Amino acid sequence: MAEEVSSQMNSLSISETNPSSSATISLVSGDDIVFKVEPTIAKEMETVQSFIDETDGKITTIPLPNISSHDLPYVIEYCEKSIAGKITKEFEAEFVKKLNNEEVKELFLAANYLNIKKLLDFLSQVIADRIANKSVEYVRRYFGIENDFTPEEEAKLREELAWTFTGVDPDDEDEN
Amino acid sequence: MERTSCFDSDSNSHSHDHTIQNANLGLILPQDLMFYIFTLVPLNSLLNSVRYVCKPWASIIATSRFVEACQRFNARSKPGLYVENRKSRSRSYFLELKDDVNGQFERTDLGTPQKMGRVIGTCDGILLLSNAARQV
Repeated sequence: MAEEVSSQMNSLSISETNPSSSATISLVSGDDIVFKVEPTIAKEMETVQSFIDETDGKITTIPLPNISSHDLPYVIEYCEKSIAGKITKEFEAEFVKKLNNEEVKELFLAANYLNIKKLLDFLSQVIADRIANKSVEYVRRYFGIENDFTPEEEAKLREELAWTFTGVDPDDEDEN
Repeated sequence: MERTSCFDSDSNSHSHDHTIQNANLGLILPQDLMFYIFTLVPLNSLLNSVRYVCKPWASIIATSRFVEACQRFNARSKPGLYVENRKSRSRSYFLELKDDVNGQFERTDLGTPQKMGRVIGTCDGILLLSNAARQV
């Protein structure tokens, strides 16, 4: 049974700036929690917007099986701020402060799934910043990746010229 | 904005499906998304840390497609000097000009240039010569 949870962020000034907006949209998370949001929010979520367009706006309940009820409020919060034109450096800093590494990755995937470009760009930068200047071991832990290099392979790679970077001679690199 | 074009393709939903939840190691991000994140990571980290993480990542970073993407996204190329000592075969490095007034440099080690042969390479408009580096 679906439990109804109104978005806490609905008190923002969105409805004032858009008096013509009709019924709210219900976003249903993967664990069946319903989040009611203003229709304008779909403009930020391209996946949701195309869903609405395809059904000529008749369907206002949109299942988002890939997004949990834990992550969806963050996504909605960001989108509502974005619509209100209130995405500031301060807001983004506060926003990301609340998130642990796993949550950042989850939201990043959610933003990708919903095609929210601003959030995707923002979180890409957050992740890039979190791995910048970190050790190999830290980055592996962060991304949950196991080392698949043998010591010999790693040594060989370390000897290799960074000119693979210029695209000059990447072809003589044997990856088995 | 050009950089968002990475996400315009239909592959969006696909990449999500490829996501693997690993109980021990947490969420693993799909490679096409990592490609984009890598373009935002400083060169220094890519060279000294990220490319040693695993083989798939090493190959992403080594592709010319990735290099082109980096160059496109980082329109502001850094002023600096590429330095390589050809006689002693010591590690080459890139001196990034940090402060135009005081002439401060940040050094980025690039690795041993053992495959260069006699090629004279360029790096963002810098000509590479034996025993000396000169800006062109």
